[in-house]
Amino acid sequence: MPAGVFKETYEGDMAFIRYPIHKAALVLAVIAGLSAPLLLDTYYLNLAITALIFWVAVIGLNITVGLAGQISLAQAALMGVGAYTVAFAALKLGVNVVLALPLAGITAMIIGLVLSLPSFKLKEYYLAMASLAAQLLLEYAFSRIDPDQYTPIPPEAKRLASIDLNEPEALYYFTFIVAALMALAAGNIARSSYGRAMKAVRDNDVAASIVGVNVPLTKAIAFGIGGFYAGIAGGLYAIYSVGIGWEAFTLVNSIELLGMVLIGGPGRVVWGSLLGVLVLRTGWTLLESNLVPILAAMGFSAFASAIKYIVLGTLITVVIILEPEGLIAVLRRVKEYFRLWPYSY
Amino acid sequence: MYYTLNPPATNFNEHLINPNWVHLVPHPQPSMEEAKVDMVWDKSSLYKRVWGMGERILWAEGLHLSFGGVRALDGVSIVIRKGELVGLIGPNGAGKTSLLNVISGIYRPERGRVYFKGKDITGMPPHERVKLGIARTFQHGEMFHGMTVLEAIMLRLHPWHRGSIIEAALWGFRAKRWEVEARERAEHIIDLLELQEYRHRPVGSLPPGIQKKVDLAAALVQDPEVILMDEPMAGLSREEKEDIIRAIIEVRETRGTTMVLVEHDLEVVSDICDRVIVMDRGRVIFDGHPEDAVRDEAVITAYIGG
Repeated sequence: MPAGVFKETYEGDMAFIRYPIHKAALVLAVIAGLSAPLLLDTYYLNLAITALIFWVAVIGLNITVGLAGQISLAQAALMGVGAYTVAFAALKLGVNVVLALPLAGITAMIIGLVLSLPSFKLKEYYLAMASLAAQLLLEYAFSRIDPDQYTPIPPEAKRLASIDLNEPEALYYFTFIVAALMALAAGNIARSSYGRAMKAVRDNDVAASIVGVNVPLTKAIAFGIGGFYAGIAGGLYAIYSVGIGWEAFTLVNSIELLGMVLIGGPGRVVWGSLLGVLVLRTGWTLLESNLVPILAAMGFSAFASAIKYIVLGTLITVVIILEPEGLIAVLRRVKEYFRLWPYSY
Repeated sequence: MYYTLNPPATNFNEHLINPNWVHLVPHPQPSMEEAKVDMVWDKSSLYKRVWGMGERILWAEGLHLSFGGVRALDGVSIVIRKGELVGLIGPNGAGKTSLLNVISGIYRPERGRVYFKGKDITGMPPHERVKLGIARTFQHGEMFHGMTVLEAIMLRLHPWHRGSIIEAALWGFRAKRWEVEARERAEHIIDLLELQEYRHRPVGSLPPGIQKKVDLAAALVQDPEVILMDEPMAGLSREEKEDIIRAIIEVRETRGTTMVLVEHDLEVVSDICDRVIVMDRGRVIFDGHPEDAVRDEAVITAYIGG
């Protein structure tokens, strides 16, 4: 706690915004977020929208994996469930995408709850295998309902009153608000009693049950929330896309999402997830657009397509070895350094 | 003079209910003179007078549990009475921790029942037993090493948490109020055990003595009727042990909580416990006053090996 800040109530001590710097950061983030469409061109705006969408998905996975310690390799498939829910609700039923979005969350949440069933008995690798099976099953289901790998989202379903989500600016603001609300809710869950229960299950589930945590229920909640977030993210992805294909929701995407959690900071639900997305998704896209042409020009075009996974794998390995708590821990150390500055202790 | 080796049963029919219950043979009640002598001569424990006379709060009958070929519990029956501090001792592998695990619901016994306040809790999941009032501390104090002290203590109030996950996500009025109440209760215990300075430190970064104290604090915040303590003094220095013992005694005197203490250190047990149950190879081999335990032949054989 910085010097000169005193709290007289527990409520104040446990609030989200405790110190002046929190307030300043919040104001800056809101200003930056809201002014982004004015400053960025369409390419970067789309990049920002994807980052926000993946932020939501990674927050969900971070709750399942980072907070509750239940490995899931099916997050991309759950995103797919949300995306197809929105797509088919818009296409077949003519439901507006904004109204279909909560439905997407709920559908994916139900699937997530089903995925939690193996976690009652299985742990770690075995649980990973169970979620892998779920991922592959869902992929197969997608390939049956969407054999052409293309389900268009009708543009007229993206209009609600005077808001037209076909325009990037409107879509950006919509995504920003949804993502911000989801992040706030995730932060609240993490600091609530449920958050503590999930952490206990992650650290030692037998001990958690001894101290009075209903372990199966907590695991189910963690998977359910993870699914809900994935569904919302998938729904947003469908709104963002002209049309969706199931190749966006494959195992590789699931592993990428898991990589974002591990690199950003498992258990650091809000900001760790954002950092993971910025590094692995946005950072990578920016790098790729510069790197691949250079590699291709050097005659490594075969290498260029594989480089993504080489870099991804190396990065995850290095981060896990050097910083198991994720890159957010580096930021925390920097913060600590400046808090103590000019002393080192 | 102590009047008996076996706790005199107040319910003289107990042996009729379970004939295998060899260590609970009916025993004549001490005369008033004897009881008085007991009280006069032994001032070390305020609760001595309760011994063998209080109503039973937690009891188990004929517990059997085995892992593969190993018999962890072989017909164990115990009675814990209200307000007692019972030491549960025995050599390694005697089944002490298994017994605690059966009582707190981690293992389900193959045979036998566990009762708490007259209610059969044998098949009840662990988190519901906590709600009834059975708390437990761990052999390794740092079970949730990543949590701060405050989190580890507030976590224990989760069974009483009302309000859905949606309320928690929206941080509504009820969720906020609950959180503040939980914090108040946690702070009260932190004050009681003088853990203020460690409040925001991760449990894993604390010295073992403090970890054990945090664990005790965390159990106390549940306001239990019975605390099962699994080796609260294992691996501690003498000073840390004294600190924990002081905390245990303080809690007893202020709250009158019933306690079951698994411990290796016979000295500690005979100093603070009202009664000691000695286990060996999954059986109860002695049940009575600590000072008689060290003279009991079966106990000596079990400890020294015969």
